[in-house]
Amino acid sequence: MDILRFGVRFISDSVHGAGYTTRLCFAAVGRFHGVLRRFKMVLEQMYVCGIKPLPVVVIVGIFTGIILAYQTGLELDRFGQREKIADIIGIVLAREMGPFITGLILTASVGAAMAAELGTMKVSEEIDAIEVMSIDPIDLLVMPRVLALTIMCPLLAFVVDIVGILGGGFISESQLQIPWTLYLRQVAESLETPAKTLPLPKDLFTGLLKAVLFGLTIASVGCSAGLRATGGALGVGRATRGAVVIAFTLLIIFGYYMTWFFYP
Amino acid sequence: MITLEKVNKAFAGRRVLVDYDLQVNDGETFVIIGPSGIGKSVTLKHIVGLLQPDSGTIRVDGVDVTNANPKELRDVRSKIGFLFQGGALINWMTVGENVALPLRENRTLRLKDAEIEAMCREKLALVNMASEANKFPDAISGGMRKRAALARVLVAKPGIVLYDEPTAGLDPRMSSTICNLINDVKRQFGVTAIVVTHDLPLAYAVGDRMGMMHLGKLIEVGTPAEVRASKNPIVRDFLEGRPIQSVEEESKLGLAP
Ligand SMILES: Nc1ncnc2c1ncn2[C@@H]1O[C@H](COP(=O)(O)OP(=O)(O)OP(=O)(O)O)[C@@H](O)[C@H]1O
Ligand SMILES: [Mg+2]
Repeated sequence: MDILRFGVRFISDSVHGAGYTTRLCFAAVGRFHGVLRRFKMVLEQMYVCGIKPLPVVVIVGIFTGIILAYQTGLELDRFGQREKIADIIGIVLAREMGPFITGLILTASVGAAMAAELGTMKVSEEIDAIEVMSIDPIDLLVMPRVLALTIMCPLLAFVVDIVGILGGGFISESQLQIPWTLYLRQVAESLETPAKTLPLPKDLFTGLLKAVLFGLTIASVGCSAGLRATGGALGVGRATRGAVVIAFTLLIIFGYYMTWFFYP
Repeated sequence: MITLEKVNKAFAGRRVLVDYDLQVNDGETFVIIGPSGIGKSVTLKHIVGLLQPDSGTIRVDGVDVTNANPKELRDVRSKIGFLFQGGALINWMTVGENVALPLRENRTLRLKDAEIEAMCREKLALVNMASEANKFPDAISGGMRKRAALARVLVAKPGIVLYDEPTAGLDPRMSSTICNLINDVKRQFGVTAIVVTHDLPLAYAVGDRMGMMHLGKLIEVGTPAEVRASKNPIVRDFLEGRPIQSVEEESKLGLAP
């Protein structure tokens, strides 16, 4: 009986949470036009979301490229196709790994911080105080965070793409004896198919579009978890944990569906 | 005018407000006293719509707060200043920015930065906090946070002020300062106020009427003089600070679940 009740409660909480998060996301996006009034906050958040995680993003990006090149390079070599390495690195990074790695890093750092910050404000009655002052907490707190992360996530994903390709090039040159010039030319060739809407390579474009959606998701989930926190420090911990788990899960699911949509 | 009619509220089966009635007239200061954990803060949160009653009606200047649409609720809230028990200063803003917040965010006022700054400085001076404007809330003491929060409440010139323990954590002289401030604000702006407090000298000094909370309602509503002369043993025990003798007594007073 208890298990049944627990299950029902779990499902109803999840449905409520998903509904709240979706509404919050739309509400935040619907307030993007007020960006000028919140310009300072948005800039601050862009710094927190985009510049501060830069070192870890660069390091992880380089090593992603290195590992990718190393593992696939060894296999390709067995089939005598080591020169294909550049195509694989370019496409895999631009389509999948760039946005995904960025999403993971931002979820664990920025998304978790958003949940913790807003959660702390919630349990210490700061959010209540904001509401009683007739200030819209979504406009004051959520909109700048969502906007900043939605802008910064694709930019960071682009950084990962670039440094990952460089990392891969480093391995190609040192381990597989493919010269840099050849490697870079082949990466460029592999990404040649243009996108329909923008003068960008399609693989790069779809990858960055994914990153936009990831940024939106991570910020919305983080803020939503924070605003729903109850019960002191424990509640803030719960909210943060929930935000990270849910954002990870959604990233994987959304990533799959976007791949499926663009490469049917 | 603030009216609560037959308001009921329970948390997880524990009844905190039981057929709670309260009427505070325009320009009046009403003091609510009562033991810790009895539901005084919960009462105030109902008035601003932060908590919803299970049943009953709450009106502020004729507007039914419980069933108000977002616009009506915003209008009601913009008339009310709420001093939270813990201050509820925004952590990542300085004291000065906190006090400026209600002015900056009010788009109908259209104040210039210099005007906002002058108004904030004036209110901070009223609570003896002028020199702390550039500090962050976690760098000042609890009593200072309370005073800064009071400045933030008063800067918006509310017509109704709800004070949740305005003098808790303050030293005697600072308590008297705040006590005078509450009376000044009332005299100058004719505000309607509810003061929740354990501080009996404050209660007697600012209250036009007062009432004691017991088992989810107000008992002994009257002028401070009437309440002080009350014969009700529960009120007498509270005013005289007679210690709680046993767990049974505690649960009889509704303090232990
Ligand atoms: N959001 C909430 N969820 C569950 N229970 C709550 C909530 N808010 C208050 N309570 C409970 O309601 C009761 C009254 O709380 P309240 O904060 O109003 O006490 P109080 O009279 O203000 O006490 P104090 O003088 O110590 O501030 C307490 O038992 C508290 O546990
Ligand atoms: Mg209280």
